[in-house]
Parts: sequence; structure tokens; C-alpha cells
Amino acid sequence: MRIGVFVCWCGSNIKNTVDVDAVTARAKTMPQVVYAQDVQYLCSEVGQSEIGQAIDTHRLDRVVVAACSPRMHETTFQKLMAAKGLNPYYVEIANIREHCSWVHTDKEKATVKAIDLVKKAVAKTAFAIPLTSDQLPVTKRALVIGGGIAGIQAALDIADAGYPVDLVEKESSIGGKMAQFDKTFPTLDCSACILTPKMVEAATHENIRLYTYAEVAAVSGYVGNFNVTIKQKATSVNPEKCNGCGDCVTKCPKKVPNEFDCGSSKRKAVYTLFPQAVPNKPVIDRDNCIYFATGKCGLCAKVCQTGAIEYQQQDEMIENQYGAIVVATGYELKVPDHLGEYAYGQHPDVITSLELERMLNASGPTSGKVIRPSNGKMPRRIVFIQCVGSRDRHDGNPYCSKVCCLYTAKHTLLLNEKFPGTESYVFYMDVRTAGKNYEEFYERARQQGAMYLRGQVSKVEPLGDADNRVLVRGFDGSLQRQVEIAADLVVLATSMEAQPNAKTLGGMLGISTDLNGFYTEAHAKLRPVETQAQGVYLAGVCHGPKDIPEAVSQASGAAVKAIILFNKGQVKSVPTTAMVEKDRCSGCMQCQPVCPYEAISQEMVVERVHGKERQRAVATVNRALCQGCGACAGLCRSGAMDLGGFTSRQLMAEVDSL
Amino acid sequence: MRFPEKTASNSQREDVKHMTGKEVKDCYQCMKCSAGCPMASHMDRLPHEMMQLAKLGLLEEVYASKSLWICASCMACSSRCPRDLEPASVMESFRVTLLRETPNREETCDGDLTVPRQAMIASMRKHRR
Amino acid sequence: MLSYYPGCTVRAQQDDGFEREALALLASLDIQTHELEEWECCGAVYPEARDEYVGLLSSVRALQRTWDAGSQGMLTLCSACFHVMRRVNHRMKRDEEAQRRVGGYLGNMYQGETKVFHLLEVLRDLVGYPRIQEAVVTPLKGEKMACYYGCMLLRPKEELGLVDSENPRLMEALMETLGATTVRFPYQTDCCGAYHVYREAPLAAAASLKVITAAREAGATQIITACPLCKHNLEACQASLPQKERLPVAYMTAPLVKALGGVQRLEQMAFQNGEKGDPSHAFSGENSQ
Repeated sequence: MRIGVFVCWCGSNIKNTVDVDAVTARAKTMPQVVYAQDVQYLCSEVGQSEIGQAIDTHRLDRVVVAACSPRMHETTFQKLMAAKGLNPYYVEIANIREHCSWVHTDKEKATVKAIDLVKKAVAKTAFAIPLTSDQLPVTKRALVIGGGIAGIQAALDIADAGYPVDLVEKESSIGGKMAQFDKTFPTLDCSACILTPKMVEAATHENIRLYTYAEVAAVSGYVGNFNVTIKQKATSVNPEKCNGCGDCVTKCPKKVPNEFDCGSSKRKAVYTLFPQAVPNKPVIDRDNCIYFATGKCGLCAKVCQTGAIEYQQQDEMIENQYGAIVVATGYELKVPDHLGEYAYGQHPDVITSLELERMLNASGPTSGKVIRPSNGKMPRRIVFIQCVGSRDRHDGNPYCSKVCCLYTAKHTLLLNEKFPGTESYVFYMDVRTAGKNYEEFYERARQQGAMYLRGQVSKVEPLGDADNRVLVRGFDGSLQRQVEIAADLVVLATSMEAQPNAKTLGGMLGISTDLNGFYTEAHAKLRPVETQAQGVYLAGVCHGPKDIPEAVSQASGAAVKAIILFNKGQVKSVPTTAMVEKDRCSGCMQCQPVCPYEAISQEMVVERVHGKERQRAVATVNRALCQGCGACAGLCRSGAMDLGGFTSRQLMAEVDSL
Repeated sequence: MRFPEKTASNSQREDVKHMTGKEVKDCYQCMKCSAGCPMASHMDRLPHEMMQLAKLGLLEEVYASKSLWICASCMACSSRCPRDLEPASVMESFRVTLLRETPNREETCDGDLTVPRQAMIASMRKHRR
Repeated sequence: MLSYYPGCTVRAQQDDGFEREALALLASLDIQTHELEEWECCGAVYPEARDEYVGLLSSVRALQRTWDAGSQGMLTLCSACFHVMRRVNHRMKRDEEAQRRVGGYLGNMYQGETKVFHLLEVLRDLVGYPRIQEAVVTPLKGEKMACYYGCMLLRPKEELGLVDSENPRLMEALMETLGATTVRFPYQTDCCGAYHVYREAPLAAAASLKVITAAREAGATQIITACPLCKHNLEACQASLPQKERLPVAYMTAPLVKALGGVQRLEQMAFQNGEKGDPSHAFSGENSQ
């Protein structure tokens, strides 16, 4: 065996903290190492050819690269190995950047650690076994989870490329949060006018199948071959028979708060989400329906002329196969009653921005009029409070919700335009306008009269006066003094939050959430729509706060990733799969239940014992299904199960080397 | 104002951190503390200014400020601070530092003796005189 | 049985009736209290600096004694006592360094086992509003109460946890139980100026006057509080006002006692309760004056 060691400087990234000369010198003395060299940038063309030449000159059959994380350049070096006719898994990476130079400051100690990391890699590669991967077929159908603007866009793009798409939405209509908005910044075009054409297109597209009022219940499989169970909730209305006349809605005697209007209006127990809903068929909300509670009523069934009401409908489990999944599950708005000082829920005239948005909307609860919920009169003086529960580590979320600065500017503009004479005050900490034409939009809001005060509000209290106004007590950084405004209406720019079930769905999909519950991308800069799970892509706010153009761009990005996968038509199987040493396997089959990919099954082997032939059960691994997680190898008591690329022998050699 | 040549050393900042468990450098000057302070109109330096001065290491100005003695630890700022920095505790730590460095003064009862005892004791404890 | 910790202010101002009313009220509602022996001042302010341990000693001593007495918890009337005791207790539960240092000095190992109650909490949690409502003989009609809490009962919310610190409704609920109406007003949770009244009276007066003015503008006919110092400040700041512009200030026990038939009636009931109940029951201790 002839091992070569190559130590990368990574410019100054490694060299400033690790003595690369010392590491190279020490590497030369390690067992079976015949050659060692340091290079300024191993990933560069120059660096690659240095390794190539060394392989030829010194007849190397194993290579250790001491450089950055294998997540960065493992493939680069594996390709080089393959080009030189060596197995790609004969290269081993010692991560002396992320695991060493970046996290240490003491050069002497960092060098000692870097040497140890190289030692470990050398010991491991000495026991490397050649690994190969197979080509697996891909199911050319995509699943998009979430029917908001991001999900709709992703579905349309994939469908336009000619591949079938299933779009799953938990509400009874697609459209998402954007359907609730009135106008959109920075152009002030009507939200519904730009959204509804896309909704209709999605519903009528020959390659798109809608599953509304449905949720993803289970996911198994892997890239190219996911098995997904979709739970289709019973709508209690037969969509084939329903003609959308709306008689059932009119006659339904039960009224409940309408979530679509943030509870500021009522809807019926049988309802369509909003006038432009797609599909425009009502559903029965069984939690609130009188018939489902008491067995009496049944008015909707009586008035329905087509007999479309079906109380006996059951939730249905649908199983489908997909090659790729786009996650576009969106967000929820935090109800700001946890910040007691803003008196939300204490005084009716303290509302959230979305509640104001609904009031401004012509199809909203007030038909476009802005009123004070306490008395129905028009507010004259409105105070906007920014960063409510955002950038708040004490009592909220640490991150910036990103869209509030702009939509508040929009609200002040709309109010000024629709109801001249209203005064808008905005308490803010920073105004963040990083986006095309956003700064200009903010400028326009200020020019049209919005009064911006730099400083956070400390307290909102009922004034107790004849008009039942609220006293907003803040601070103006420019005046350098406390300011108090008796306001008719207070609007809170409340924080965007990950969906409460994001973690559960993430668990099914094998993708992780960050501290705030948003899904984590594969790489913050270079792989922003991919996830750690191959074939699962992200679109929209489920990945972090975003405005509409950003969500749409990411959705198209996610769609392209799925399209690339389908165009290729094949995926490489994971080469680092589990392997059974059948002689040692006792056939206890404990490995079978722990395998999350259902890759392990039982097979019978024939062996001779004391001259007699007999059959014995052992475990066997389906290499196409195995994703190399190693759960089985860690559990196997007889040590028969091993993981390619990480065999017990390799790991022990690493430990022994230290 | 022009910055002095020398601001507080890191060790002085560490002292504050040790006493309060809070890192004043983390303050982003939202001014919510000043917005709700019931004593603000009597202060020569508002709570957010005190935080800013502490953050910038201008401790001489902090120690010279009357505000240290005006703050009544009502905790309105501390309980609403979005950075969880507890300005009231920061004030207290500066006050305690000053008192520790001042030689023991004689206890005098120079206030209004008809007030509730709690006020008398609290005032003495806060001024340690 | 609760161990009653009077505190210096309440005991020194015995004549203002707060202590007598509070104890009579509890006794009539079957809450037994016994004055803690050899109690001493809590220190009036919580030692905010984390490296000050001396300020914890007297409170820990009282908390330990309450625990040793085997009672249900410590009863406080004064907001400051409640504030200090509850926070010291909170800290002793969590801060191992404080446990070590204080324990080393006092020769014990106190880890915050005692429960600290404020009178309001006892009325809400141990007695309960329905029980109080049953006891009402003269409902308070026509009164519009402004309930003022002061800082000591409210903040820090994580350590005290008595009420919703931004929108407290405890006294309101209590007053509504008695048949009174309550008003909401700005500055309800602001500071009254506290101990500044001792040396900088105008400063405290300015703060208190804001509270009084806001409550009056919201239509209050009287303002109640549970804190002796708040009460003093709210009264003192009105001294210069003409009589008809003044807003009456009372302890929160006053309307309660009034609605339940007066302090003498309550004491009589309490005496009868004591006769049939535990003979050791006492509601006015004589020691530690």
C-alpha cells in the first residue's frame, strides 16, 4: 500500500492557524505514507494536477487530503481518483479547516490537532474497501406540499416542463396567505388580481392534480422513489355533484369566526374559504357543524338540488409514488398577546397588520373600509408598531420577519390614499428596505405623510376617555424625549413563524429545522433550495421569512431542481451502504425494525454442519434502498453488519492511531 | 462629542457582566427602556443613553450621571427589554460599584422621617448612607 | 396554616388598619395564620447586583424559619416584603453559589423550599372568589375602582409570577366579586416614585400624580392598592390639590372588609371560627415589635 498525503493551505484559512509545513513533515513519517506535500489551493486546477502527477510518479493507491469539510470538495477529489483509475473511495479527507483552523486560535495546539486528524485519516484509508454505486430509475412525478404562491409557482413550472405534479393543500382552497392580502408592495398591484390567474392555471393545468383539504401523512423511500401517503380529509361535499350554487352556505344556521378574516367576521359551518376559492366547492367544517355534533339539522342536504352533501364521507388515505418533493408549507403569524405591554386582546382597537390588511381588502369583513373594532367608526390617528415579537429574544423570535417594514409603508400609503386626513405614526428600530425599488417605496410613504419615529414603544394602555382611545407611550430618538400618542387604532407588525407542525413534517421528509423551526437548506449560499435529503427542495417562507418575489424565485429554483432530476431520469445509488457478513450473522433480525428505509430483509442460506446440510436465516440488505445511515451496523450484536466507507475496522484503526 | 482616547477596558465591562449576568454590548438601542421609564423626566441621562455609554465604554460619564440615583428599580425597562438586558440591573451594578469604591459614609437620616419605613430603609440601602 | 411575616412598615403603621383588616379578613374566611417568631426586616429592596450576598441573609433566615415551622407558606401583606421574599426564594432555588455562600453564613442549606404568598394570592388561590362572593353582605354598588398594583407586585414577571404583569386583573376580579365596577387607566402598572419620597419628594409626587390623574380621567371614584408605600405616595402627591379634585386612596382590604360587613363583624366571626377550630390559631401576634 502506498499512501500520499496532501495538505491544503486554503489560502490563509488554514495556513494562518495551522503550521502546514509541520503537518506535511509529520505526515511523511506516518505508516505506509510514501509521499506528502502541501499545496496553496488543493481544489484548484493546479492543486488537482499536483495530486494527479504524484499518483503517477509515486504509484500512490490511496490518497489523504487534509483540507476543508468533505461536504465541500469530496466529489472533486473522488472524480480525480476515478480519472486516475482508482476507486473514488480510496480518498480520505481530514477536515483541518472547519474542525480545526476555523475554530481555534492557538497555532501550536491547532497544529497538533491537525496532525492527529491526518493520522486518523491515514489509518482509516489503509483499510478502505472499493465501493461502487448503481444507477436507479426515477419516478417522474413531483409532489408539492403547500398551495400558497410558492407551491403554486413550483407546481406550474414543473408541470410546464411536461412532468405531472400533485399539489397538496391543507385548506379547502389553494392561494395561501397571499389570498388574504389587499395590495402588494412595492407596486401596489392588487394581490388577488395577480394571484387568481395562477390559481386557475394550476387548477386547469393538464399536468397538475390538486389535493385540497388534504395533508401529507407519511413519507418513505428516497430520492427518485418516494412513497407518500396523503390524507384526504372528508369534505362532506361531493365535488362531482356540487355545482357551486352556494345554497347550502346561505341556509346553514351555524356561524363561527372566520379564520380568513382573522376572526373579525363570521362564516358558516359549510363554507368556501373566499369568493375566488379554487376549487370553488364548499366543505363542511365538522368540528362546528350542528349535524355532526347532534345528528340533527341537515339543512344543507335538504336544500342541495344536486344531492352533493355526503355526511357519510370518510377521511381517505391515498398512496402515491414521487421522484421529487417540493416543500412550500409557508408560515403562521404569531398572535401578539404574549407581549402584554401592547395590549393586544386587551383593547379591541389594537390589531395586527393582517387584520388591517383584511379591512383594507374590498372582499374583507368591512368591504374595504377601515374602522375601529370598538365602535365601528373611522380612525383618525393610527399608530404602527414594528418588530412586534420579531428581533425579540426576551419574549418573541430572534430573527427579522423581513416583510413588515415594507407592508407597513404600504399600509400608510393605502390609508393616506383611501382616507385622506388619517394620520399614520410608525415606531421603528430600523427600516430595512433591501429589495428592488423598496427604498423608493419607503421614501414615497414618508413623503406622503407617514410619520416615522425611531424608538420602540414601551406601553399601550386604554386611555379611558370618552372615545375609548389608547395611549401609546414611546420614545423618539430624534427629539430625544418620551412621546405619547392618543391613538384611535394601533397596528402591530407581528412576527412570521414557522408552521407549528414543521418539525413533524420535516421528520417525515428527513429534513431538519433550525432553532426557529424553519427548514434548513443544504448550503446557506450555494444550495439555498436543496435540503440535506436528496430530492427534497424548499420554496417560500417555510425556509425563512421572505416576500412574494423572493418566494416565487425560490419556488422556480426548486422546480428546476426537480426538473433536472427528471430529465436525468436516473439517480446514483448511495455507495456507502450496509453490508452483511453472512457467516457471522446470527439471523436475529434486530436490524430489520431499526432500518428507516425498509432495506433489510431475511434470506435463507444453506450451510454444512457436521456433514449435514441445513438452512439458516440471515439478514440481507437491498442496496437500492439502503441510504447508509448505519443504524443497523451500530446495533448488530454479532458484528456481522458493517457500513461501507465506515467499517468497524476503519473506525477502530482511526481510534488506535491516536 | 468626541470620544476620549481611552474607553473602558474589557475587564471593566466584564465586571458589569459579572454583576448583572448581562452583556450590554448586545443593546441595539431600540429605546424601549427610555420610552417607559417613569423617572425619565428627572434624569440627566436616559436609560438607553446609559446603556449606550456602557456599551461604548464611556464609564466615566455613566458614573457621573445623576440618573444612577434616580432609577428606582421599578423594572419596567427590564421586563420589556427585547434583548433581555435588564437595564435596571445594569444601573444597579454601576451604583453598587460606585458605593463600593466610596469610603463608608456615616449614616444620616436627612430625609422626611414621616414617610413609611420601607421608603427610608430602601433609600438608605440604595444610597448606602 | 400560614406563617405571617408582618414586615417593618406594616407593623410600624399598625394604626392605619391594614394589618388588622387583612388578618380579620383571612381569619373569617378560615385561613389560619400565625406570626413568625423573631422575624426581621427583609431589607426593603432586593439586592439586584448578583455578587451581593449579604442582602439575602435576613430574608433567607425568615424563609428557613417558615419552612422549619412546617406551615403551608409565608404570608406577606406589604408589596416590598412580598417582592423581596419571593425573589430571594426564586434565587435560592436556582443559584448554587448563593446557596453555598448564604448557607455557609447561616449554617443551613436553604434551597427555596418555602412558598411565599401575598395576601391577594391567598384570597385568589386559597380562598377563591366564590367563597368571597358568598361572604358579601353589603355589595359595593356605585363605586368605580381604579386598582393600582405598583411595581413590586408585578415585575420581574418571571420571578414573581403573581399576575399578568402587563395587564393585571387580580384586584379587578376581586372588586367585581364584591359588586363594584373597575376602570382601566394608563399608568396602572407604572411606578409611584417609591422610596424617592424620603429624600426627593417632588420626584415621587410627579410620578404618583400621573397615576392619580389618569385614574380620575378614566372615571374612577377611588383608587386602591396593596402597598403601604404606594398608598402613601398616592396620597401625598394630592396634598396640594383642592379637596374636590382629590381621589380617595385606600388599601385593597378596605372595600373587602366593608363589603363583608366591617372589621368588627369579621373579627367576631374569626373568634367563633377559632373557638370551634384549632386553639393555637391566632391572628395577632405580639412578639417582634
